[in-house]
Amino acid sequence: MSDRLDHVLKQALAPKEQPDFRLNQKILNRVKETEEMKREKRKWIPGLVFSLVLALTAGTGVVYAAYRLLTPKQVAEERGDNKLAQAFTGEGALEINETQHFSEYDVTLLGMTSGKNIAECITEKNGEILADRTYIVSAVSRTDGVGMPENLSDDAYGDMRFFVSPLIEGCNPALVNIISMDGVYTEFVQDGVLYRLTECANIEIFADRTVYLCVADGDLYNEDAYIFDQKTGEISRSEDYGGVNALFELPLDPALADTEAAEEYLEAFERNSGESAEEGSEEDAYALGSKEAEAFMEKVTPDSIDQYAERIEESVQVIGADEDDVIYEYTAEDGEHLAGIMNREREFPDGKPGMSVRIRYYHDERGVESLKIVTFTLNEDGTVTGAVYLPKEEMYK
Amino acid sequence: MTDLELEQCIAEYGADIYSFCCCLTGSRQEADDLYQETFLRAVEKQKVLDAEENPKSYLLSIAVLLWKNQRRKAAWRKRIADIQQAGYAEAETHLQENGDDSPESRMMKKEMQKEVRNAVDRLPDKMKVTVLLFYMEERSVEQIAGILHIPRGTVKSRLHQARRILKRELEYMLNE
Repeated sequence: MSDRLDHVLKQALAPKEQPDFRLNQKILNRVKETEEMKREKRKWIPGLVFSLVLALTAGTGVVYAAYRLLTPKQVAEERGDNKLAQAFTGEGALEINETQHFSEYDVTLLGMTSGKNIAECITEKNGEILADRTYIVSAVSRTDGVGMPENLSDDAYGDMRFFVSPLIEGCNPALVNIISMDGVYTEFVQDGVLYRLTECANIEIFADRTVYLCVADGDLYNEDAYIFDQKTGEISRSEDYGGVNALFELPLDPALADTEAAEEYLEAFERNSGESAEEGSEEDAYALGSKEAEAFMEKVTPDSIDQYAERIEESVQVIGADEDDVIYEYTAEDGEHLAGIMNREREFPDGKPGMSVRIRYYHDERGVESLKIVTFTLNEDGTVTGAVYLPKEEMYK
Repeated sequence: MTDLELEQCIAEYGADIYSFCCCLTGSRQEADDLYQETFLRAVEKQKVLDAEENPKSYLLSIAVLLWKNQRRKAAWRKRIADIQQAGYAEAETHLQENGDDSPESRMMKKEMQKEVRNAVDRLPDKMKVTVLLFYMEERSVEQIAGILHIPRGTVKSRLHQARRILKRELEYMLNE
């Protein structure tokens, strides 16, 4: 029957799906695009995030950006997107040029623009083009005059990370940020300045609230860097924070607000995050169970196992002295199938009788309560006893 | 890796990697993303995919790693909103046909293969990945151990446990 099963599995699982040729072409195009842009990278925000910053003390104050910085238009041109470059000089575009200083870095918000189909570079989600977008250009430079590394690899930036995101008054920034806004960014270094072009869902619909742009340490929203006042909905910098925590207010025209669309967006977001929370809670429960089981198992050794656990006599199986690489199997009362491979060299490297230190254990989200421990013991006559133990209730309840 | 090498790599391993992605994710859309990211990550790492290093195993290991990581991220789930069972559904139209070629026989084969794939899909993730690498991608126990970064014994144990479950699930089919 095993041969038959192998045959059936091989036949049914033989690779049959072909990637669409356009998908392969897309990969080749993306690689070419990356090569052409050399120092530039384009990433989904939820993916790995590049860049800076490990400033030790925060500074404050606002000055105008230095003349040497590129304009948003030039940044778009540098990225090869002439359509977007035009949009940055068109109606509704905002040139902001506001810099916030920190001990080691200057963070500048250069400008922004929003609209439908205003860029050549198209962003897709689930095969659908995201047409209505906001584009924000920011820049980071070092205060000591040393240029930011031109090589944007993870190695060059080490553990320096940099999170840029619009935030919306009244919305918890830990939840509503660039990640929930279908964010994408590209970045490159020119003349020692790191430029980032951040793209996300059009945020003008929120223009009747304060809309911020945060630039802070970390891959994700940094809760230590900002304060969210749940009563007023206001977001502010945490003055005690020791790293970079820039916070700009985006000067949006309140007339552009679309309250209905904004509410719809937030409702949809809450629905999604509710589903994620449910999924997350399952994972959390398992993690909690693991932690509990692992803590218990730390105490279990060949010498102490009888103190903490009880052997199930029905599970005892003796493996012959001349047998090796034998699969031990036992189905527990609750139907769980347990298995372990007994390899003499691995289990008993010194050939001495006694229980192997390689004690296997299985559990689910219930933790110790569900724990099952599989052991192998080398006997004096060379046979090996496989057995399952269950934790003693009094040892964990 | 040069563009030409990438093209060759896609031509040689694309279908295998893509099938693997389809079965892992159970969705065409997710498979497209995973497949794309797998090759892009391979290029990003700038690793030379030469025959000696077994590029297929290397690509599979990237796919598994990305899949595991992405599963942990709620953001990924949000991005992949329209999950369809397209991976399997479309597979039905590409079945290899050999032996008895009557329409009835073909229909039965399709149904059986769908049942087998569904049974594999119901396995716990760890077993599913191991089974796919073994039966679909024809990786050896040693190669699977390398791809998943687990001991060979664990691979054998997972395969064994998976076989036991599948035997039970597909008993009616195996006894025919």
